[in-house]
Amino acid sequence: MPSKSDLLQGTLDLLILKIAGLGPIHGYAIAQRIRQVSREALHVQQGSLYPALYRLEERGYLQSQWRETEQGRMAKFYTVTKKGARQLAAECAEWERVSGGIALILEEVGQS
Amino acid sequence: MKWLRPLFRRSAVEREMDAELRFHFDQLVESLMAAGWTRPQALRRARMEFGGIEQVKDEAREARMAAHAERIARGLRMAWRSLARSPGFTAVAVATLALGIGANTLIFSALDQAILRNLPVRDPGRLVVFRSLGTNPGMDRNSGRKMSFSYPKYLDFRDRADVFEGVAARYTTDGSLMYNGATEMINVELVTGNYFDVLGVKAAAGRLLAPDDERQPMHDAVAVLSYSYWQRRFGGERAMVGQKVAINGMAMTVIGVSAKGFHGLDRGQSEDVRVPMTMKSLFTPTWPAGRNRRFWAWLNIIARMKPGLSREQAEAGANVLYHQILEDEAKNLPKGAEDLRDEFLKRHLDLLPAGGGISSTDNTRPFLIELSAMAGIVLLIACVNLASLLMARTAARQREMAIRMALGAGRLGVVRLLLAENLLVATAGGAVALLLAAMLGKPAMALLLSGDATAIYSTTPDLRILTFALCATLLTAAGISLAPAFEARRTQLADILRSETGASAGRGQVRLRKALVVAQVAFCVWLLITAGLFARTLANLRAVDLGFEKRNLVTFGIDPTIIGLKPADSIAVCRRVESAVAAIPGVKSVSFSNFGVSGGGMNIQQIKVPGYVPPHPGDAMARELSVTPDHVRALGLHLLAGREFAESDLARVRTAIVNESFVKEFFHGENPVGRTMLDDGGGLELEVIGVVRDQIFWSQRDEDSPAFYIPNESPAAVSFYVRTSLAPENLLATIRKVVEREAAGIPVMKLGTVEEDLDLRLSTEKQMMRLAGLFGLLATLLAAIGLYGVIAYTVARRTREIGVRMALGAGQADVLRMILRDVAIVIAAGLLLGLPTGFGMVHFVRAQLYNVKPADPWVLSGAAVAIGVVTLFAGLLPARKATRIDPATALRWD
Repeated sequence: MPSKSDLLQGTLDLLILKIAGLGPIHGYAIAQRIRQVSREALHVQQGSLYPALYRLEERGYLQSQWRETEQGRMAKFYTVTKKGARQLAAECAEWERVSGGIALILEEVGQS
Repeated sequence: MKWLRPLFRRSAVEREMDAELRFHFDQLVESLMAAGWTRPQALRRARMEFGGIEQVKDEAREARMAAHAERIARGLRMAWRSLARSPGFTAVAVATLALGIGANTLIFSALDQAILRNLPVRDPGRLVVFRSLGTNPGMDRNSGRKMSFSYPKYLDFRDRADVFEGVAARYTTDGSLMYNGATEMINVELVTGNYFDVLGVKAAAGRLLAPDDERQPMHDAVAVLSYSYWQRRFGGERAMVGQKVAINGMAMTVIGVSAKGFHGLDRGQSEDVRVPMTMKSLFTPTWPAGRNRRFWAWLNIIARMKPGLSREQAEAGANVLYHQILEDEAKNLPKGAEDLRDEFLKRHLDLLPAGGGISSTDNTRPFLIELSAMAGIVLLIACVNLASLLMARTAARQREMAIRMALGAGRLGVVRLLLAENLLVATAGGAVALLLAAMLGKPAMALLLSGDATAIYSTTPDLRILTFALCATLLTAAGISLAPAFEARRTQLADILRSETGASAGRGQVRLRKALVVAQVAFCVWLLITAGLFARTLANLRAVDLGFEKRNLVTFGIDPTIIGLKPADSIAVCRRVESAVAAIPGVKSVSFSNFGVSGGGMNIQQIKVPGYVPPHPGDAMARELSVTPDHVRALGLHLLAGREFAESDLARVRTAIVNESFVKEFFHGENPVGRTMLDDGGGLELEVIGVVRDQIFWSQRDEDSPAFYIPNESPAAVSFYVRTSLAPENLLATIRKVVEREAAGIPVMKLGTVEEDLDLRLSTEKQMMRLAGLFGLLATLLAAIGLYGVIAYTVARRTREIGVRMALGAGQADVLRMILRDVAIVIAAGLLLGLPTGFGMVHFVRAQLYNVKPADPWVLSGAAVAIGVVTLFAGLLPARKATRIDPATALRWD
């Protein structure tokens, strides 16, 4: 796999887990939500989204179910498992630690 | 098992993926249209944004597969690391597997070929061999098996039986084959012309015998070589077909070679050359005629049943004909056998399955079965050991497992790790076993089987058997080793984590493991008892009174008739050899006889003794041996009464020397010297001139049986006995030179010392002892490892407790006593279980024992002491370690 997607993979997983953690949601809606919440800053391609979803499902972080949408169509809805929630918590903590660290450096260096 | 789904329901998964992506695409199009795009525009735009839909699917699929491969690779890597962390365990486990599986693969491969596998012929299930129990007036060349019939009987069956597709007959004998000036002894099978047709054996080169060959006159003789003889003697040279070779002095044309893998009908024996039945007189010079005698039984009859018939149906059909034949024959019973008529008519014909060959009289078969039993026990012990090892490991890792589970590994993950470890150990064990079996196959087979059989059995390890042994071991081991993992679910993880030794759930397991060691010790007892009993048997057989002096005695055989000499000329050659050998310095006396202690035939004759009334008519039988006058001195028989033969006795056969059993049986124990007896078969009236002690004939296990010696020069296939005053080994070369000079062109057979030959006769017992001993040693070693493991584990588990005891004032001796008490209980229980069950097992080999009771006190105590000492030592090591525990450290032990 190219290194670009490697770099993004962890982050994308984190975002998916976070969004799916709010309640059952299908793939299209996940992509939309990421776009909306990031105020159009982040666009997720289908080519990245679905492999990530399947990977997370295989690892047992997500589970899926076919269900009717509000428009009455069948779609595959994903929810976060307990294991996924633990993983999310761990990754969030890690993210905060790292990003906090980066923020600190940026601030400190900027002041001096 | 959700993760298995992609493997088995690929299409369903694919359909689901399609539906999901289509939904996404549709949503995209809808949202674009909602934003004001026209439908075609929206479609185009969505397609652009989506990229190739197939590409997306590919990537999604890949992600799914990658997750699998990654997990499997991770599992194996983890298992590898965890095994590498305990190299001792890994080495012992792999070695245990390799030994158990290797031994079993090898032995069961041989067993399969020797007993289970069918002959390489067409449709072997339809082949049967004839047998008929009951009295047979007249001569029987193969009395032991009751499978011999006369040639006229064979013709009756061939021409008149309607339940068979074909009926063939055969007779096996020795012969000589000369080619390019070199003469060699060969195994010859006289066969009927339809032999290969009936068996369904094909030619590897040239053609095989056909019914027409049986009608060929003597001067146009043909022969078929067996594949292995063709390879061995002629290097598989195709040009041999059409060549002439001299068989028993007669030129015969080699017309072909039989199929590879077909050795013959007798298990464990290989015929070299097959010639048509019409050549009989060439191979049976002492009874040259006989093809047309109704009461000379000498042929084995093999038949192929018609398709669709069961053996019972065929047997019923064949018996109707058989009784017609018997009725006809009963009209012309031989003289003196009229009183046997009723018995004779009661005879029944049995059809025995022959697809696996005719079970031969050789003792390879029971031997192999016992061998497999022993190998099976070793496999069992290996299983138990591996299970015990894995269990200890699992138990010791309970804390590790608990941590893994607490970190979210899941029960399945832990099980998967254990399975991956087992898989690695098994693969390694199997590979080493295969390597062992392939490398040690030949020498091991040579050690296990006697010379002839080795050549026939292939030693290529049978993969089916390897797989079976591997699976059996693995399933046992996996079953037992996984149990704790499932149990771990039920135990409170927190408890395990809190407990300081991390082995709170170990008590039940220790008990189970001790039980396994008890079983192992019991198995060892079985094997060592077997070894001990065979050692005693061997010693007893060596000490048996042979009835003759075996030291300083040389024997050899020659058969001048196989180069085509007439009986009178043959006798002249033998007499010449006799006097030439007697003239060698260091030789005291020489004789020759029709009977050889190192193998050969013997006549059993009907006799009449005045004053003796047999319980059934015709039931007075004794062994008759033709010997030359010096025989009593040459063989070293112990003369108890009367005199030896003199040269003058040879002129006309009218004297006999009888043995003790003969006196007991027919003369009521009274001194028979001077009395007369009648040799009914030979029609001789004999005066008894001496009595000798019973000699053994076939083997050291011989029952005493009546025998008488007559002064008579045997015309064919004679065995010489040479009594020496010097060490006999030094005379062998000289004797061979002298014999070859006097009997030019006649091969010298089985030249050697009698002592050596007798010892060779005990090779089965020796092998049994060696093997049972070897297996016993292996088993004891495994049991010792097992015991060591359990005790070491107990000590580790109780380190803290021992520390506390020592801190409270217990001495090293107290600790040692405490641990050794455990060890002693396990060993004692094992012995207690093993000894009585051992008697049961020994029952199977009882027939092979000699003068030993299964409950021989020496053997029992020996086995018990040997196992006790070894296992006690194994238990002592960890016990000593326990005494060196430092209380201060132990209390801090975690």
